[in-house]
Amino acid sequence: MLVSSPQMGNVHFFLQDLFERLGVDYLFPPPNSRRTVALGTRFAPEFACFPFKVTLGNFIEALEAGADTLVMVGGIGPCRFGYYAETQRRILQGLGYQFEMIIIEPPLAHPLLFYRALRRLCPSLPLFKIYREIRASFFKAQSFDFLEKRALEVRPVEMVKGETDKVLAQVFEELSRAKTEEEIVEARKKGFAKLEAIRTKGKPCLKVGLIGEFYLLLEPFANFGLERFLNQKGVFVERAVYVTDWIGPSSTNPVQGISNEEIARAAHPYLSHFVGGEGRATIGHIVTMTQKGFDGLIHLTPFTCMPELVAKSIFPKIQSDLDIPILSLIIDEHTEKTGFLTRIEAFLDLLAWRKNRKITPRSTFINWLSNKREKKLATYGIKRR
Amino acid sequence: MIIVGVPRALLYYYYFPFWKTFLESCGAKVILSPPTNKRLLEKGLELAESEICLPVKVFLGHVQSLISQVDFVLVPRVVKPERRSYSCPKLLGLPDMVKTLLPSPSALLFPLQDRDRKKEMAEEWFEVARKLKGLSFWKFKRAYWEALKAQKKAEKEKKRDFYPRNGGLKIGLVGHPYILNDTYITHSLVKRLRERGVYVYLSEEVESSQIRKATRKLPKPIFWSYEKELVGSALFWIQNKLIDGLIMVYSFGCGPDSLTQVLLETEAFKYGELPFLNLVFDEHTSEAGLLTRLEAFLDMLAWRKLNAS
Ligand code: SF4
Ligand code: SF4
Repeated sequence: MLVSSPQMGNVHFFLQDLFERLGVDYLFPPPNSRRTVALGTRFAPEFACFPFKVTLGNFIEALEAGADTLVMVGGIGPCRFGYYAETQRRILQGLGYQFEMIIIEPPLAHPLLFYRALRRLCPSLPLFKIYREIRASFFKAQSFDFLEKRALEVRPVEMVKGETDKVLAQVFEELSRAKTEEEIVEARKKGFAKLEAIRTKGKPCLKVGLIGEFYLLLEPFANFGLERFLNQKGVFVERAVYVTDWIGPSSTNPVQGISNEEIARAAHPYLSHFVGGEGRATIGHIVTMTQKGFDGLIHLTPFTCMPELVAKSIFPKIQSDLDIPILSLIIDEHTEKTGFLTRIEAFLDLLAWRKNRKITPRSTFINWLSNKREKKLATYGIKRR
Repeated sequence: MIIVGVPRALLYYYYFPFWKTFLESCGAKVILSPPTNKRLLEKGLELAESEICLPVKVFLGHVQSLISQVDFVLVPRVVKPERRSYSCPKLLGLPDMVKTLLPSPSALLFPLQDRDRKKEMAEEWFEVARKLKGLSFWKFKRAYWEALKAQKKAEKEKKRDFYPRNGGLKIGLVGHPYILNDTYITHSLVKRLRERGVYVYLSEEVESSQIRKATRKLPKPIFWSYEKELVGSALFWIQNKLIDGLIMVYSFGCGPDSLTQVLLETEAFKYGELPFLNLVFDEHTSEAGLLTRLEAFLDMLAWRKLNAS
């Protein structure tokens, strides 16, 4: 049995470690490329969302590379993600591939299906041992996330360009080798120390939040290495999702540092019910990040993504209430890297201009006047686009 | 008298009997927006995000047309129409989308409809009754109960119990009622098919017990109720060999249907390569193009049928 999975951010570190512990052979999914996207787009239904197409392409490439078992997470809706695996299984079977698809359902909603999936992966291991291994592996994955988050803080102000990336690669390497809990803690401590030791200067010029659909935020290929790009321009970036927060069982989001309840409370005036995916989190993050004094937000959404569309429909109102610039970008298989990054750059210019403009009595008066006008228009049911 | 407006779009096609009975026993006057027309659609297009699905765009247009005439607009938040399965994310967020449109958001009634949270649902409808006239608790209970009963009765009346075995072409039409019943956006698809002497079966006509039976064998349960109904009814027709062809109708940008389409396609293929036509509607769908595709499909079906006999 040779198992493979889709590629998403740091997930493969976690899976590689986990499968090694469980004694399952794991094939690193071939890295995402234009070919992956092209393959996925060709065989996926036209209106499937972008992550669906990329992960389908991943599966095809993994099968070509010799994998015979595919692992994918399931879900219970209401967003499409929960039905990915089943649909992809059908498409791949239709293409004539021989394989087995193991769908890992959330253990609380479908305990039986979850148990069966585990048993198919490792038929002989006792349950408590599996549990222990998953826990250790999860702890390690969390360390990856913490280190990555720290790197996001250091990179914009590093003295020598590219140093953080070099150090981070080294640190990740060391961490992947750690096995027992003590070793992991040790490697993590060392990693933090190394990141701390990077020489820095000055302060980041802007603070930007990254919000939106989780796949796009987590997979650098899909967002054209946006984080790194911003960091290299000296912009501090905070990302709204981390892998372990997303797959983890707790609702406190230890890496991100803001619990789901807090997010829901922040979003409540604008979106008072969850809508699946990251829809409510997007709104909640807009509110909390604005309070934290971010200069602007970048919102990434796949074409036809349902939860993000709901969130996006609320943007005009939230923007006029909170006075924060949000750049919402749709990503699909036709998005070009240069065009995408140009828009980001223009947005950064706008943010810098906003930050540096002086607040004079005159500008305050003009602001006040235009706000008043907008409010008056709103009472007639007219919305400025 | 308090006037409550109900947009004639989206969930109107599912729950109107319930809403109407309830609102009227609260002493309100219920008015509907006119059937979809060009002006309404254009309003909706103007208000909505461009990639959102057509039914939601149409819905926003309907809301806009009602706002000036009524005291309240009813936009319930339907979370789980059945136990453990959701409606669609866009329907979950519908009240919040509408709220950004209304000049005074307090004119919006958005009670919850959720089979897993019955108590909360009743409380929220009680809230609505209080806002309208102030029913006493007992009167509310009675009105609520009667509304639920009316809903059940209306649903039962739609069910079909007779499927002709021979005769003309039989086609299963899979699609949300809010698309199929909207004659403006589908260019009267159902009527046109029926005029041609084709037996058209709709998903809402299939008994829920049959749907449950048909979907039981799926490796993964479908977690959208409306999709479950659509897929289940299609599987029921396919498995019992009741139809000669399957047409799936959905809107551009519809999330759930883009995936269930694959499911239906593969299942239709498995059962004797049943012909399958996929019609995707958006605001630019032209009548002529639609008719050509339909014509070709019907010809193909007739030819197949002739060959088989
Ligand atoms: S969150 Fe959006 S992109 Fe992701 S699976 Fe759901 S609908 Fe698709
Ligand atoms: S089910 Fe499809 S058509 Fe209906 S609201 Fe959701 S996305 Fe739109």
